[in-house]
Amino acid sequence: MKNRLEEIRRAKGIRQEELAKELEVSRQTIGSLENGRYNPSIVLAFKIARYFDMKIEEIFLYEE
Amino acid sequence: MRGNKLIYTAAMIAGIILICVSLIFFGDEESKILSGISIGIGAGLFGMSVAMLSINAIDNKKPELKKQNEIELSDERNIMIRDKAKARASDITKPFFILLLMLTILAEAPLWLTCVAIGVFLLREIIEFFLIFKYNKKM
Repeated sequence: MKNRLEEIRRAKGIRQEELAKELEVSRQTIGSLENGRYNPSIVLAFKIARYFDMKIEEIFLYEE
Repeated sequence: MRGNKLIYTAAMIAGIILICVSLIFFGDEESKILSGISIGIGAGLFGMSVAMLSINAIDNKKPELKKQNEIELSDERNIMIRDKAKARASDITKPFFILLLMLTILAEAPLWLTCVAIGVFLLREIIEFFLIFKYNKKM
């Protein structure tokens, strides 16, 4: 699944470490999410969306 | 945390006692296997306890490091990686275990040893099926 996490994070001027700390996940998880190597659980996807005050589908792009 | 400290201290003392007992009482040739097992378990208990007590001590001195370790431990990606690695390692070693089982037969090892090996193998299979059944119901 593709996502706009890196783009959104950079636009907000937040470092990976800061985002990881806020979401209580490892920095590697943020890196893997941004690279598209890892798809988050629905819980983490909600946490990310709430953190940026956005909808999940605005961050994570589902393509068939 | 305090409870853990007590458990690890008790395990460390148990490990030392096991090593001492095996060195003092199982010195002769007849009890060589028993001595080896005692030393092995004792050393394992001692090593694990010392490691856990040291980790606890460091965690208490550096709360931020403790928090980071907790995050690393509960991180969903890390959990998935650990579970996947364990499952793969188990799958990869399974044929080797079967080979080892056959070796005990070919090498004419004592029957009890072959039976124990078969028992462990069957136990592993039963646990696997039980867990599949359990998770099927749970998820």
